[in-house]
Amino acid sequence: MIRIAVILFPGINCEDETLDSVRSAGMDGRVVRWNEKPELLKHFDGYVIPGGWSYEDRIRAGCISARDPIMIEIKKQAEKGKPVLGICNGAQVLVESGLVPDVKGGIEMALAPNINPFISGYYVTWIYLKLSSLKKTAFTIGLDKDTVFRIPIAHGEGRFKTADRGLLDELKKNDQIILRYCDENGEIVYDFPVNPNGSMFNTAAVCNKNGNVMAMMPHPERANWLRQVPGSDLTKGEQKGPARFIFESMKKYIEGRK
Amino acid sequence: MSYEIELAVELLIPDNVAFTAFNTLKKMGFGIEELKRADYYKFVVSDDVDFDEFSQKLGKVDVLVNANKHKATITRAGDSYGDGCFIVVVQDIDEPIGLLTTLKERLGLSEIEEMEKGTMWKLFVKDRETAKKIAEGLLYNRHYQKYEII
Repeated sequence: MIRIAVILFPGINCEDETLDSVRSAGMDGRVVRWNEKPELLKHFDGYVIPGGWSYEDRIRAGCISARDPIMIEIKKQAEKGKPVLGICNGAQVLVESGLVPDVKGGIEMALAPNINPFISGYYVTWIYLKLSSLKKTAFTIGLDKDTVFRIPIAHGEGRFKTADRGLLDELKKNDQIILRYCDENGEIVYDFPVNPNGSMFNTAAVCNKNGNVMAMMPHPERANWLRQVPGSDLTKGEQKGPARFIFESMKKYIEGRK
Repeated sequence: MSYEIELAVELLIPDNVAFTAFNTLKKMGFGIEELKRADYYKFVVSDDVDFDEFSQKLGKVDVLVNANKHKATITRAGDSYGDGCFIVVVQDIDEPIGLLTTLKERLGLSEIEEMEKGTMWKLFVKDRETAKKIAEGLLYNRHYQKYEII
């Protein structure tokens, strides 16, 4: 059975539903705490860093966790090609650790505070995402480009931003911008509310060059069952939700490596 | 003509953010003896504004300072904080400051022409170069923030 480590830093609060989502996709695993021996991570096939407020977002969201010793082992395992998914706060950790986008190395981006014309800080809503890349990643296997799906966001610092001239062009050229905010018809509209946080190029998820590490701000574990989606038919609630493909893709990717 | 006034608001109760930053810097191998943190505000006011009167008004604005848990230090920009430390101020580059409107229009501080806000880190380290390395290694993200050692 494929085993996924769901990494728990102090303050992470989505570990249970993330593990449930992993299991719903036919994998197994367990929650691994930040202060367990990092070496045990090598016995897992993949990793998910869930959402929450690791270290209470002290200094900046994700920046303390990114410097935690357990991230050294996650980097090592990612270099071997194992998949690493960072969701929301987990995405902030991956960006602050330099695992994403990993074009030239170092911290190449930020997840900056949202720019929202009405609400300062934390913002929660359902949005639409569009698969915007043909790149083969561990998280989008079997999905057609331009697929549109609905998923929630819940963050105060989710605005992908870089000060590096040319990085955005490089990300486009490498097809590393995987998911973008769009309207329900799949049209990219750069303004609020379609772009809920002012993210550059409507970016919602970015992967590394190899496609095995992805930082995504929306929460797939909150759109993993139909019952979680507003307005859905609750008699079909246990059926798969619109974002389960991300976990199912992880499984296919790992099976393909074995 | 105008001049600048700085307000540093420190916690009187234990500052968990400062503890975490200190411990992280130690783990990263920095030689640091102590670290303090404050919310930082800089106000631009006209030369006509009396520093002492404005300082008194500012210290009473409870959206900035809560006397039950904060200690406020108000200085003219450029004055020393006198702690024998290096002071790093980190600010978001493109953060809209809605607070300015609140202070001017609702709380009676109409003297303020401009304002900035950020986080002030007091670093007790051996030299400026170490303070710079700490700022760039942990305290700021260059993609949306700026820092200055004052």
